[in-house]
Amino acid sequence: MRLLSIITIGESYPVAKLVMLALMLIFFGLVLYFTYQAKKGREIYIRPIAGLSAMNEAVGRATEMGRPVLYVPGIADMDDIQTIASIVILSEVAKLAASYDTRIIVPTKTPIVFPVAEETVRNAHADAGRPDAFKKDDVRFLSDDQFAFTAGVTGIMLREKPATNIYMGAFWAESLILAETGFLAGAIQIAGTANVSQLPFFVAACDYTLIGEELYAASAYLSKQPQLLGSLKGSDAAKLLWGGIILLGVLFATWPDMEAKLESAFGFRFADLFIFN
Amino acid sequence: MRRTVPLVITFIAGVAMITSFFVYEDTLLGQAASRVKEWGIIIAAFAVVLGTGNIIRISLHKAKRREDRPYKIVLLVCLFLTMALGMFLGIDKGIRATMFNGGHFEGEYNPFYWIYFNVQLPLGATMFSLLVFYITSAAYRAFRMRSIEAGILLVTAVVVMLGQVPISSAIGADKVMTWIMIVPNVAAKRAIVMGAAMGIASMSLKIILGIERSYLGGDS
Repeated sequence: MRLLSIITIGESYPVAKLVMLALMLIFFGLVLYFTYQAKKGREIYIRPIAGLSAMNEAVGRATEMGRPVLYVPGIADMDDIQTIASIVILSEVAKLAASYDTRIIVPTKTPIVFPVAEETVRNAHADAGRPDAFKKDDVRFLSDDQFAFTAGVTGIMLREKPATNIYMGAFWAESLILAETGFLAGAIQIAGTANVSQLPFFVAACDYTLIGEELYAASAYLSKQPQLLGSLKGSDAAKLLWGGIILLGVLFATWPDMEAKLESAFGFRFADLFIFN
Repeated sequence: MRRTVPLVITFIAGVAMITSFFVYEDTLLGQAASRVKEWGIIIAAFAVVLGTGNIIRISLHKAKRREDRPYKIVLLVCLFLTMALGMFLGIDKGIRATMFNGGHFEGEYNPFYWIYFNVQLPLGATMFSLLVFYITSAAYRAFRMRSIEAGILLVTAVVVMLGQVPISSAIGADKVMTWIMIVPNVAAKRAIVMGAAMGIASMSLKIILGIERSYLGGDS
């Protein structure tokens, strides 16, 4: 049995994976460098994100109206990074709600997300210095069927009338049903997802929408912790680098002779770098 | 200790998963990674018990407090009935000879699947079909011309919709639609996907290294 076949790079090991490994290491290096810089006290600027700036206002509105906040962490399981990002944001939002003494209702679709969300909200209440304000019944498992869950959440919107609805995570066909029901119920709505096909629905029906990467930047933005802000900066630096590589790729792809020249110089075709098998 | 143990487990699992992508599947690490994925399925099975317990507890509390009592009673009756039918009459008897025949469920099937095909599926389809009404009302609001950007969106939407109908080739809308769909639309989509991919990698690294630990609580 081979333990780590990567050591024996031979003809059978895909070049693409090696390139990917190199890019990943560069990316990790940049993120760690900027995280270290931020830890040392370097000031990090991140552009204002309207949806996240409005989070305080949205929870405050619920407090003023004496109504709960509804937080939906998507419908994917814990193995989806969007759900993990959503749970991290939930921690900040629940802390905010707890400090304002406002109820936060968290319906979950998958059984694994349910205990994680419950523990996160409980910890957030403890961090806010109000462990007694945590209500176990407010974190609920509804159903692992997509539309049964949707029906359950819309039922909560219409019966418990939350003043603020926050949808963060992975959503599919239910996104518009949730957002439109929330709009009709008169709630202020903030959504965030990296599912490109659902973004137009959220943009049309919600007051604020976090688009793609903004979902992953949310925890850093809300907590303002220097290390997290540094990692955002590192990620942006990597993006700049990737932009340059993409431009290079466009050049290779559009200049007919370039690919042949590259192949003769380096022994592989540029297109091979994107074949992952 | 309460925070250190989860952080160590996260680090080991994260590094193992990343490494498993770069090694062959028949390696020790590759096999360990697939074994860990199997553990996930087992943990999920236990979590179902937690979730079901939560539904029963909340529904009973609410029914006792006369809060949405009729809904809670229907929910509990359906839950226990389906569970009892599945547990005592089995879930596989008869189902192999059946499934769908021209969109209809036919043949010999048991009560558990009868409930699934005749109650749950139609209810799900009903919820899904509500989308058409929501799309109409959301589109009405999105296409109101309140600014230059909204105006551009409106014109683009009209061209794309025109491009879908037979008359489009006569007025050239089909070519414009195709260009819109494969050039600016794909470019914007790819930009979002690339940004999101970067965000995923960054978030994963932060969690693996324990830089992001707010989900564990106890920061303040």
